[in-house]
Amino acid sequence: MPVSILYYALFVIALGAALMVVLSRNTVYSAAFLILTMLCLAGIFLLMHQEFVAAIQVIVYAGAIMVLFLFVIMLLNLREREILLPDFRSLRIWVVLLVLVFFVQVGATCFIVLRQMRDVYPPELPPDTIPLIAKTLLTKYLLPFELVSVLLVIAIIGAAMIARHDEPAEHSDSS
Amino acid sequence: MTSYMINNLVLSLAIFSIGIIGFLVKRNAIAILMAIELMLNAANLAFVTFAYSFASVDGTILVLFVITVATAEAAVGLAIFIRIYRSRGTIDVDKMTTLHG
Amino acid sequence: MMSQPTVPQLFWVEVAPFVVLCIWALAIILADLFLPAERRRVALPLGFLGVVLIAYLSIQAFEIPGNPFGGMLTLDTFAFFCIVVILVGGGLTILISPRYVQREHIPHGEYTALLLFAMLGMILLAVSNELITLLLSLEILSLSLYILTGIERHNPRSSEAALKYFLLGAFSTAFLIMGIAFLYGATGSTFLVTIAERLPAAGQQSALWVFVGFGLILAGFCFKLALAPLHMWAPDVYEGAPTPITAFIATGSKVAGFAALWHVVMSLADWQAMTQNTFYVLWIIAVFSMVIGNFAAIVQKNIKRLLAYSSIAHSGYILITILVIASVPAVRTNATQALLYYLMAYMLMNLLAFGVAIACGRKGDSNIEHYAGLARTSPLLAAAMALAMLSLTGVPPTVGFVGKFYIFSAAIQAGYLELAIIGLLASVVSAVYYLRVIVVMYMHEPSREAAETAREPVGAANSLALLVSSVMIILLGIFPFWFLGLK
Repeated sequence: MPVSILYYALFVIALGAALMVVLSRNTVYSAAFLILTMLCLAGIFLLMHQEFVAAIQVIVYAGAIMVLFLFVIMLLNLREREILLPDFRSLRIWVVLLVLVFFVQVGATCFIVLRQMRDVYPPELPPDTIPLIAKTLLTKYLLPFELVSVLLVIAIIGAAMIARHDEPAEHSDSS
Repeated sequence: MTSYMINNLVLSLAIFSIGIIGFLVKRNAIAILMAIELMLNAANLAFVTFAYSFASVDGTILVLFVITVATAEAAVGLAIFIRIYRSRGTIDVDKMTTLHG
Repeated sequence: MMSQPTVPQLFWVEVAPFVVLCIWALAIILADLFLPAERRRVALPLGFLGVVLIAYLSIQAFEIPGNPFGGMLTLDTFAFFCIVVILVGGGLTILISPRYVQREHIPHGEYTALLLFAMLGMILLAVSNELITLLLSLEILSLSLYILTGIERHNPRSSEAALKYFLLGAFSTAFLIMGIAFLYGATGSTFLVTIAERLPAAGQQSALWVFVGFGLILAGFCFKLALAPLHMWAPDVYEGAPTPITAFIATGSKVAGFAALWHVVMSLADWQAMTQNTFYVLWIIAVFSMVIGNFAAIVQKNIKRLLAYSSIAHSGYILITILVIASVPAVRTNATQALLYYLMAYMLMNLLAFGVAIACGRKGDSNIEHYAGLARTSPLLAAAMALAMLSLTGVPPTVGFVGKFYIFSAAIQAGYLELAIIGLLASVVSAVYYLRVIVVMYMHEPSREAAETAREPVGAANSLALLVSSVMIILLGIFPFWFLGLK
């Protein structure tokens, strides 16, 4: 079954790349691995016939957001001072272990429970989902749609104001 | 195909916890923000998986909103990093000690 | 399965407060662009005018309960009270701002607009009845607050506070989103009403999703509300942020957060599987918050850090009402009343304390030592601060006393006697540090330089805010039904 081989390949690469985001010491590598993770997830979305989300994931997430990240990394010209293991503080290691145990448990439980509901086979979506998405977005989800525009306005105002270069201190508000 | 659903959720939770660990161990603010992006991606995977299991477009739309939230956060966060870097020459969170605590 | 969606029917009066608030904020930004520099301080008065206008529109909108946007928002009595509290808080915050904004060279237009956007997020949080709307409102609120925290561009402490606030806030948002994903996975809907309807039919696996989802959402809220195990960000952010914004974060965002948490908890509370055992998590968080907040506050030397820890403790008290609402249906009405009253009380006390801190704080100086002999140099300010501290301690006849009385009696009615006792003991501990501020103001000699340098005048707007909140603290303390009888 080539599809399932493809799926498991994406699964493993996504997981490995996610790990590498955390493990690599160079921020640029981290960003590159993050893009890889996102691309693998987009592939998994495609396998689930969610073409639209997959496209958005690639264009907006892997494209726009990560370019922004890389841009800032280059702009700040960060040195590789990203030391991982020796930097654990006394408490931090326990927190990490706790989180790990918690999620291994949750994951195992999910696994077992979901094994039992294997017979619930999901029906396929209608093939032309994009018009339906557009209609639902502008009817049922009209309010969140509008709120998102407010959110983006705030982000633009804020980013422009915070990152703006200072002219000589006191006169900057007349610029 | 439902075994994909199980696997997706396991993958989602795995990436989510990797993100948490990254948040806790990383010292560079941009790396921390990337760990948070990992967590948001994990949530997206969960949304899409559930949307698929319900055969409904609602989950798909929710993903779009989550992506927008991530964009807005990234824009503001990176702007803050730039400001910090300009005034201190570093965005290492361990060196943020003016506010004692 | 998917029926063709239809455009939701909208009535202007129902959505007017939100639409007008949004347009008002944008208009202020635009006006700021075109005004000459010396006229720009008109932004803050304009913002205040906007709050008054929104208050009027809200009263109209809430005349008839409604569910605009296909049930995404719910205009009910609970939301009405929350909006009253938020608008009072927002109005007072704008009133205490002008001097500070002037002194620190903060751009007026952006400051006011972001404050209004944050208020938009808050009132939407109070009325949102759907998880994605809730998430986006929370983001509107949080993003505005991150930016406002870092708005003092020449002050590195402000940027540092913004960085810490942003990183931890974004982290908690990720938890919230994951929790929403799981609740959606369990029930197939993000509408809280639908979730509540579908829960009783939930099978074993859905039940598991709901528990995981609620746990993650609760973790997210604990961050946002600065509840005990996840409160670390609060003192640093409170200290570094511009003082009026600290007041706003301490009061408004908590009120809105508790309103949203109330909505989420109410949708799950009627479900049998979510019985008391699950909600013992809330019990632990409440006790932790009260104990850690109060004990850590004792050693603080900075008034803003002191108020930060005190706000953690007060979140603990307020969480008791959420716990009661969640687990004991019989006491739900009383506990909701206690919640609303305490939110109002908490808002007034904190804004009064921060208002005084702004009035007598010089640049970057908010040490408690700085208040030595304040009773001698400016007796009215000292009296206001003393009133705030007494009310925070819970001394009658202030709102703080009545609020705590309501909360603890609701806890006792619900059978949580031990919580009431812990809360009372914690309040006794809190007296140590609240009264210390009063002692410093009234018993200590003013330092020589403080006695010699003339204080800058408090300013009309700030005085008005201090007067209004002082009077309300006493009046609502004596006549609590004035507030609870509003609707």
